[in-house]
Amino acid sequence: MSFSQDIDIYKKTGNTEFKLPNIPNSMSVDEFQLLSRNTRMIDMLHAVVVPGHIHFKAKSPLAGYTLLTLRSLAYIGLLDVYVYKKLNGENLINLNPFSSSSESAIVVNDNWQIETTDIIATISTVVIVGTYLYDWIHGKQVLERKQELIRYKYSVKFKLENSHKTTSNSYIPAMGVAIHF
Amino acid sequence: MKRYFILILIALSFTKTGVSQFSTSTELQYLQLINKQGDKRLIADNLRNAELAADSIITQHSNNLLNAYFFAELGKSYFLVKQYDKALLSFFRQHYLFPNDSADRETKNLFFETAFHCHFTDNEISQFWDVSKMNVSFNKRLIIFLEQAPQIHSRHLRPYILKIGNFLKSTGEPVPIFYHQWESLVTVNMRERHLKTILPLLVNNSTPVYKQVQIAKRLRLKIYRKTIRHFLHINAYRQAFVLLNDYRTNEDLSFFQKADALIKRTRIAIRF
Repeated sequence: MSFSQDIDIYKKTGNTEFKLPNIPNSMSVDEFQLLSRNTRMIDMLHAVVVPGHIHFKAKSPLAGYTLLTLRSLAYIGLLDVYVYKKLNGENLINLNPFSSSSESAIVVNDNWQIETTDIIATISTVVIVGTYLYDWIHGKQVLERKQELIRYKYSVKFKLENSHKTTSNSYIPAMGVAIHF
Repeated sequence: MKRYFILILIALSFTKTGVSQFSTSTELQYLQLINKQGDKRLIADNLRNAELAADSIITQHSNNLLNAYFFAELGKSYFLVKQYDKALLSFFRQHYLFPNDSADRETKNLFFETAFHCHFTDNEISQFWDVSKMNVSFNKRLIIFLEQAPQIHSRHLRPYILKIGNFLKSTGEPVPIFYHQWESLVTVNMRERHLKTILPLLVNNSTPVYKQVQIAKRLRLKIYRKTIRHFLHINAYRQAFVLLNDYRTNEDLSFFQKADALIKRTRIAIRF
């Protein structure tokens, strides 16, 4: 008799990683992967580090790479602003952004002048936050929609397949002995 | 006794797994269900599964009425998601491989409608429709299909037609030369607009397409170059070398064509 050499917080009666599901022959590996995936809280953190993470998880690579590109451009924009302000000895955070006096400022009227770097920084920040939220909310929706379609398809087909059978019971008679501790 | 018991259990488990592959009837009913709903996402999601069932139907080619209706319904699915070339191919599969009067009557309007979407004229569609395929064996119907389907001239259909061509080869039936010629052109990735010009000019003999003099020189050299490029792509350097030598010695090349041949010769020399 062997004893567990691992410490588990939850009760574990078997190796769940080696559980082989009985999947339909016509199910593709993509569909199988989509069905086995869920968006969890940890994915929110992953999505901060990897732009487009949820879309990649939902197998929407086009949207994923678009978000990755947009967020990368936004980071470059922020870095550009940082370097520019450092080189010119300006404060990184302008407490009164609408009354700038530098030459590069865009003049809206006498009382309203906006620094170009502030516009870039604001747009970059909006893009970073926006792509994150879009990735999380839309990606989750895409994953769920795909899972619904797969579940619907195979559920209806199983139902139709069973209705064609001549016998009503498809179970295999078997005997077994189980000991639980 | 124990051995027999294990064997029975294995046989039963295979029976249970076999059920997971859906029957034609199930696939047909599901297609009818989703086509009636008209949900494009649902239809698009099922197309891969339907094509698997279609392959299985062609391989088994039983004389079942359901097969004809399956392809008709698959054509409707493609039509609903606006993949008109694939829809027309499905109607071709129904019309040529599984001819059935009632299924034909049901799909005739949609067949014409789909063919119009694929830029065919009324006369051309009528010619497709009127091809006689009754009272011939399934292998002969496959040949008729392989003769007609490439005329749709869509790049997306190539894998489907090639699959049916490969199935015909596996039956041991002699494959017609026109199919071999089409296959060789598709393998070297010729464009469909070029195929449209080349295919009607081809002579039914075993001369390679790039040596058939009735094709315009510009196109013939293009086939030559694409064939050499194909062999380079699959690292068949010796065959590429043979063809390249042939190309350089037998053809009157311009300056740019000579430069291109030199680049290819270098690629062969450095195995790149």
